[in-house]
Amino acid sequence: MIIKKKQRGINRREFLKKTATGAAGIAVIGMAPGFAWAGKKEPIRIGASLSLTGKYARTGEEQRRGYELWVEHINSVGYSLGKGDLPHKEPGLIDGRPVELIVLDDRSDPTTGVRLINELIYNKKVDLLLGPYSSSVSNAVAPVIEEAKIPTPIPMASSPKIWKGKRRKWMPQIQPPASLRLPGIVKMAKEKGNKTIAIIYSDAAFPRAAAEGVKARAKKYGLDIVLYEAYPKTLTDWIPIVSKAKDRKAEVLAGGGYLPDSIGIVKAAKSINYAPKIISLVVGVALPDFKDSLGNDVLDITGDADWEPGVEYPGAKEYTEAYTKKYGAVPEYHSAGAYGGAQILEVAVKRVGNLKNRKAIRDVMYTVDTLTIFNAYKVMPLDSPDSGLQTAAKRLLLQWHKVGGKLKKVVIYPPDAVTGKFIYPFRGWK
Amino acid sequence: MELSPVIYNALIVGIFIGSIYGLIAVGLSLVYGVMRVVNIAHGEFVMLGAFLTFFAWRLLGINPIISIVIALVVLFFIGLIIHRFLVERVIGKPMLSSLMLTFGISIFIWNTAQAIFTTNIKAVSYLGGSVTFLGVNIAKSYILGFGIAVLLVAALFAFLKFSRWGKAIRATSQNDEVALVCGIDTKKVRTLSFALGAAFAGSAGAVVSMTWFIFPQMGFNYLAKAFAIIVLGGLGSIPGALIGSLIYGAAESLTGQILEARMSQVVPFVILATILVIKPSGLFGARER
Repeated sequence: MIIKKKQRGINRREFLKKTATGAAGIAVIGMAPGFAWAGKKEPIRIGASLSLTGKYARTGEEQRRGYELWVEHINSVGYSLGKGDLPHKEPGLIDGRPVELIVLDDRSDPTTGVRLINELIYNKKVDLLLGPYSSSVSNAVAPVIEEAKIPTPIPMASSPKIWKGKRRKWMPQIQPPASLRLPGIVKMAKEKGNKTIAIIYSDAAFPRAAAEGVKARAKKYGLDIVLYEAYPKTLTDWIPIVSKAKDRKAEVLAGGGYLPDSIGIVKAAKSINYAPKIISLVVGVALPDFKDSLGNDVLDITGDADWEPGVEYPGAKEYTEAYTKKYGAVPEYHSAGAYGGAQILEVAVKRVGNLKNRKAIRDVMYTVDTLTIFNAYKVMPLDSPDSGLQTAAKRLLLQWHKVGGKLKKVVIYPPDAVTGKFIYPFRGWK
Repeated sequence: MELSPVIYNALIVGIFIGSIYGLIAVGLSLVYGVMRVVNIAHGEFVMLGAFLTFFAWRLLGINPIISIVIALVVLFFIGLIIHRFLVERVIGKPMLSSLMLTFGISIFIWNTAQAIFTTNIKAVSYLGGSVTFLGVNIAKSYILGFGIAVLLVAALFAFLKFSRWGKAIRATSQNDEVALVCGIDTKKVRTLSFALGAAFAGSAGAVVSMTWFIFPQMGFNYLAKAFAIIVLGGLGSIPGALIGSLIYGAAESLTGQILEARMSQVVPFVILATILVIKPSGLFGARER
């Protein structure tokens, strides 16, 4: 027994010998990639924390695709769609260095987002950052970004509260602010002679801002706000709150939150047979899932989008083609916004031509006036209390129509972008 | 105070919604009653039932009402397999083992579902309209859900009351050691109960797919509600789960209508806390032995 035990054991000298050989071996193998990198340039590491699981998983995934496509284009030709005029000699962002995208999943949770942004900055030591999904997460990570002083475009946060009076110096907004959500809907409702409106919204940063914007415009146009109420983010059944709007005889039903909200509100309205003259909801209406889930019930419903595949921004058309080729689906605004946001980073980094000078990169982001595939871009300057707030981007109002037997979104506002006639009033549930 | 139409409306809708929660809670309670396992993966069974219905409808054109039966059967067997090979191993072990195990199963199922079904939000647009019922305008899918719940729960009661296996389940639930001594194969009883619990969750999922929308992580919402309901009704008590779910549904709906939607998820828990203060074992709960 004793002998056996001795044979199985290992003495100190042997241990040292073996570990030393092992370590040397690992070191030699470890050098191989070093040699490989000598030929290639060291990649520029760009980090992002996105909502890949949880409530915002669907839209968070779209955003990831936008970032990925941008990285792909930078790494293959050295510039993104519509940005061929920027200095580029070789593939890569600057000095021929390719981009490596590091995406972490914040599970749609702001506190996790904060943890991951810290992880990206201080542990993974990324060179640059791209913004997360949703106003809630963006708002939560804002202080971390400001403190780390890393220029970070924030593509998918439309709540103006993140910027208003906050003097954000390192994170320009890409999306049009939420106070301008559902553009034209109040004006059009008033023109059609409606008197009452119900505004219901998810109790989160961006829907609240959107609802406040609609409320302000409803007041301005003299509509009677018969219901103005928030519902919890985790709601799964909208019947009680939609019933309230019905009981109060609201002619216009507006608001919502994200995609689940839009589907839930429409289902609820149909199931209690509530047919207001106008139904207008944020975010979800623009997504193909809305139609896939509800079928013909989407007819006449209006909603907004920051972007549609048909818009006339430089590179937008090519973007739609590239996206469709890679992912086998038609892109919507979340991915386009992500791509557009990354383009702002591209513009700034290329103009400065040096990653070390973060302040200069930031300064370009805060002064440049340009177009991306996504939208127009210009933000409040650094000396303004609202610095970083988006001022140039526009939003469209859409409505679901049946064109040639197929369900299709048409733009009904603003007048210069219209692709179809506003169908009024809502023709009821079939 | 006279019952205003708004309150009456909310009450009826709440009871209907509660009955759908009941389908989920009854299964969870049955499993807890028989084997003292809180099945964290119960919500995932609801999700699987919902996706099953969705794909049967979208790809094969199967009527979602028929899918309720399909989901019931398929989930029964999924439950059977999961219990036989996994859950049975932690029976009689400390509570934490079963919690960890079912939590693991839950994570495994929804992540797999996310990989296969993608994160896209789906819904079955069937029975979306409404009818006037008991003087209230109510969704057809709710009426269907209510009908299914009444039918299945009645069947379960009859099964537990009169059938041999049902009696064995009740005996095991009351005292598994004595049941074993009396010659009941408690292992089979546990497997059957777990499979039945999963089957109920699956059929609830089929109803949910018509009523609300579905996505891979939806299970947790329903698990949280069902768990509150079975605590309210008394852990392990089937009638308790049923009454608890009606109270929960009505409280949720009434709060949303009378107070504010934001409060609708608070009030049921206030009621839960109040009942637990008055009767710590829940409405119908027996004292832990």
